[in-house]
Amino acid sequence: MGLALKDVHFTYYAGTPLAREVLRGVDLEIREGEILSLLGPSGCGKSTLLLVASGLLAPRKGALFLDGMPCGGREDFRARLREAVGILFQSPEDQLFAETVEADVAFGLRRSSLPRREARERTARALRSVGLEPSHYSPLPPFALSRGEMRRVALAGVLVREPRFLLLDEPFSGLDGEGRERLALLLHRLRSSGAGILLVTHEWEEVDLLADRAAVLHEGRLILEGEKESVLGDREGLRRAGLEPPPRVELLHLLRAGYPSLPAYVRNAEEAAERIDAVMRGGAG
Amino acid sequence: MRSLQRIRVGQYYPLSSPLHRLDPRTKLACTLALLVSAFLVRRPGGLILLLLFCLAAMYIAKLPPGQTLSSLRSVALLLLITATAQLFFSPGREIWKWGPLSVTNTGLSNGVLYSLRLVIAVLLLGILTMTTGPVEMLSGLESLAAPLRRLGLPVRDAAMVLTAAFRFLPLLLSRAGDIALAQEARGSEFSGRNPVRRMLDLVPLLVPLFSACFRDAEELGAALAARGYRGEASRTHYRSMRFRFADLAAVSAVAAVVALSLWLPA
Repeated sequence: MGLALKDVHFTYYAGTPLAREVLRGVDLEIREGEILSLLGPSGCGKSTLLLVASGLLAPRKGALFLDGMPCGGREDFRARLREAVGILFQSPEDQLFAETVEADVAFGLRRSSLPRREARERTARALRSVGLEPSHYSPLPPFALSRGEMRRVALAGVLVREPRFLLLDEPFSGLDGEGRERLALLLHRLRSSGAGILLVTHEWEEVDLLADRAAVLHEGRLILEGEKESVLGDREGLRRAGLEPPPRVELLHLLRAGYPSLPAYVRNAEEAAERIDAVMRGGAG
Repeated sequence: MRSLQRIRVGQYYPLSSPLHRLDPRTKLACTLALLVSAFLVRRPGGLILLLLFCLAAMYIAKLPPGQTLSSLRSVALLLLITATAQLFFSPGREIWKWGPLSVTNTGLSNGVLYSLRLVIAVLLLGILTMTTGPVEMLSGLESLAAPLRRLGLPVRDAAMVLTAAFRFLPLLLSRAGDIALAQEARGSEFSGRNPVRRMLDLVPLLVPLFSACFRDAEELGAALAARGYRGEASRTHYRSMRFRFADLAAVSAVAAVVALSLWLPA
């Protein structure tokens, strides 16, 4: 069960001299209950990929599959995708507009035929899931909140539609430590409840902490894809995509010249210390 | 909301061509001269010459002909009305008659003349705006309007404000596109049939857009002040406009075409 992109191409300003091909044949699958981290330098097409995957932009070539079923004709294609996929844009706090937090979060339910009480409950649930107590926040104007809170309101506005797949475009940028932690916890919880999450990020820390798999986009093509350990441990591959590998990976690479039994990737500093310690002791003994 | 991502006619078309590189003052002056002569010329030959000149300019500017010519669609109705009115309601020798309608020789030639004039005017303005960036255009206008400063008009400040406004236009458009997509993802539809509903649908687009605009304006003002902007006081431009050989060539070509079109025998 998943959301799959098959050989997806996309070009901005197609058919004019300003045409810019941004996606050049991307194959990617987001499975339910996993976090897939999408990496790549700025301008490599990550945000466009998200727009196509959410059904907001139709691919020029290639197709999308929802649970193995092709999302065919245009209208049907967008409706079905939009039902199943929620997308959170970069700095989503810029999209808030309603007079109260509650009205803003409930905006996504406006066109659904939910009874009013159910809609209110879902709105409250969405607010609670992002750590905002509905009884306090619901009547507040969203513009009076802090940036971190506004971002959580925007996220609640996406979650209220209960999408099965979540596409998040750099959700951590500009958040303080506490905000990051809360968001990470929330993503963990969403994953264990079965959501498939595509997470665009620039921070290794988030990939280490959250991702199950990782993919690297470079000039509109996926050049690396696989388990997090293999992608993040691929020092040359990351370099080729214009990404600076995490310092741990660099350190392990240097050490591996003398201690080839060391892994190419470890999750964090503690694990690195443990492994290096073990190898050094082993080597000494 | 796809329309926000399309290039529209009359919008700057950032290519690299000899016409794009011309001094904006040259382009403004030449356009004006050609426009005036298009309305002075009385013979079809002269107008055809001007039209051919426009087409040649389009070719040199590497503008996509389909899109440029489609700008004529916006004035198609006006063209039709002008041509019909001239065709049927001009005095002169009768050529063809059907009931109360009669076509005269002057009507026929006027119909052709007026339509050609309109076509040429639209093409000229189209070429000017498609080859000249808004900022360039303004510094050209500022330079041409410089004498007005003697009369105490704040030409520089006005140009600065307009330039800043134009600079932010593409940003504004792309931001509007982003917000529209974001709201569309949350279930907004900008293509409904009901006009009231469509107006209401604009609220989620306009509120964030305005709030972002005010934020931008405040930040820009603060940044300008922090970097020492002092209003009317004389300032230098990063890109100074210079009259080059290409400009001389363009001016002479335009002068020749204008003269020829005015004196061309019938």
